[in-house]
Amino acid sequence: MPNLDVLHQPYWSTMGPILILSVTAFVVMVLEFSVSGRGKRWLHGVALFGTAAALADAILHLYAKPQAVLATLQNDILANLFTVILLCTTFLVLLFAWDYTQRVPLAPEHTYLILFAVVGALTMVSAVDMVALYVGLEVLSVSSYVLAGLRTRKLSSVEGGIKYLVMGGVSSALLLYGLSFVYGLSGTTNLGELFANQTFTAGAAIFQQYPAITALAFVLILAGLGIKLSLVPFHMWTPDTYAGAPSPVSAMLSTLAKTAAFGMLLRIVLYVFAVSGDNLFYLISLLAAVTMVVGNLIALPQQDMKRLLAYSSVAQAGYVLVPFTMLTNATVVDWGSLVDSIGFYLLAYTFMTVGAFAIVHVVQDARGSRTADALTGLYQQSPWLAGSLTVFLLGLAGMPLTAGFIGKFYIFADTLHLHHAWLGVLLFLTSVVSFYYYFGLIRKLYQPSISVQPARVQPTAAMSALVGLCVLGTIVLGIVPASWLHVLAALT
Amino acid sequence: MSGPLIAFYVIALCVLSCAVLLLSARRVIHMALSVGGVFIGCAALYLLLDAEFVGVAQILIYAGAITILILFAIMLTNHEAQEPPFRWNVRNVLSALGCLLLCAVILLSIRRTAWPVPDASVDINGGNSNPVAIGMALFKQYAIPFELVSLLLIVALVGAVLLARSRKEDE
Repeated sequence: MPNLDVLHQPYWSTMGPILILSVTAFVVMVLEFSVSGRGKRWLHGVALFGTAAALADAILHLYAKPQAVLATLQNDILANLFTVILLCTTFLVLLFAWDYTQRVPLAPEHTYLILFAVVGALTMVSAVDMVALYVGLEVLSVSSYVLAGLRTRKLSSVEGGIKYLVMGGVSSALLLYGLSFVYGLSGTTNLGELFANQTFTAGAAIFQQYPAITALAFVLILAGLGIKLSLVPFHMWTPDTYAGAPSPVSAMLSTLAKTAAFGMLLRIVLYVFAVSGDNLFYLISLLAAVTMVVGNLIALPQQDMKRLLAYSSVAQAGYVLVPFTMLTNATVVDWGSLVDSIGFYLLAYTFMTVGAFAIVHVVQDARGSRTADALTGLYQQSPWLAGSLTVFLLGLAGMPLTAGFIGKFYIFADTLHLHHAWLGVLLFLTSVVSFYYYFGLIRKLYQPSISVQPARVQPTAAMSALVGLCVLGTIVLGIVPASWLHVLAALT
Repeated sequence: MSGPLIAFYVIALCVLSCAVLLLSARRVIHMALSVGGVFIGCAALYLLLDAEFVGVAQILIYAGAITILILFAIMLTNHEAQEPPFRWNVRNVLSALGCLLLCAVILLSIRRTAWPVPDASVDINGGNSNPVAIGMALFKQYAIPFELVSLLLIVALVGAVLLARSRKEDE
């Protein structure tokens, strides 16, 4: 009788969202080449339906008992939390893509490429095995390279795609080299096993035994994921790729890809390095500090709105990185609050960034320009869009009553509590700098246009729904942060 | 010096020289040939490590299929492509210095580490032959990443077709 353990695993309760999305992706793929003409309009509908089903499944299993499938995928706190954030992001990005295709021709294959990318992203946040983590990252990356270069008629899209491909290749190589050192030292690719070995056997922590190699692995992994997260000094590709890619893809790269990479970084740092590598974490705080300062300073002179949002996303990644530096001198009790801050900020950031990219796209489409001047007079024409963009920009800047403020406040509180006050102060100061460029855009919105009457801006139904959801998310998280924090607190 | 050690150094030298050749070659076709050399050298290293199955698979797939595929791709596109000759400028010098520094750091940390030596008496294959052990790992422990690789291949295939097709429509 053969051993059938492999068949009797909790597949459904553990990897439900991944399975639902994979099936949806294949269904959309088959539909894409079996229906023709106007039927393709429904592809986004099917994809949205699948995402909603996956989200419902993820929420139903939010508090499920942690289980693992084949010791590879796990539905623990971290995985559930990031899965919910990622699926919300996917929903918004798909709505955005739906609106986009009604105005600009885009290969319909992008629908299932986005879904495949999300499957990779979900794997990155729920895998506890280095091989699965890496393959998940590659699925996400390869789909993103294609999506970024999808508008092959536009030189900027191709340029951005190529840059992303080359930098992404370097990133994968660095990451893989770092992971191979961890495997060489521990003899296992399974992070759970590695964590257990390090924690429960005295003196078995890899950093204590092999400090040099562990430090090397840490640097390589950090650099590899740093490219994906576009942390300074690995951010060079970001503005070109975001500016060239189709807007929904730019929104996806700056939210979904970053959330997944943050999830993966959190998993690796917690399981491999937090046990004993105290001396390594100053590198993360250094990166966070440089990213916050440089990201905000380069954003100052930007006139192109998509490039501005790209640099702002660089700076925002710096803010999210701050709690990571404190994982090591935090006790296990504090880990919960740090993960809460990260989860809160990432969700808030998603609403604000996708919303901002969406409105920038609508304006660009109607007025044919992406410079900040294209925003003038938007308030007179469509107060709703102008007001929403104001909410998103204020949120990104960190104005009270928006989600951005609460997110920054929690990170700031953590830094005070865990003795990294200098990072908190830096976060505060760089946020003040960021007010300058966000307010520059807001001022343009409310300026009456002096010259000829600019073209009218008409959002589609999908766009209105998207903007509405994002505004709702930004304000609800800002005014009643408990709505999401309670979920987080109950998880951790 | 024992036999395997000498063999290792000889093979490593071959792999490294092929790799350097790959980087210094000016014509794409020469690069493709030297990458084949790297693949064959790696296969020899696998054989040296008692991983016969991986070694043979490496020759079949990489040295055989992939190199030939690259050669075909070059033949079908522009095989006359040449890179401009190399010139020392500030950026190249800085990159070279950076690479040397990285190399020194990595080499030093590797040399200074007393690496864990696996117990030779324990059979890591659990008493199975190589292909059986690989099959077990691939379809049990790594079943999920294995399935995900199929998604990766689909994405890569669709992506390649998408990007190449729309370029053709432009012309």
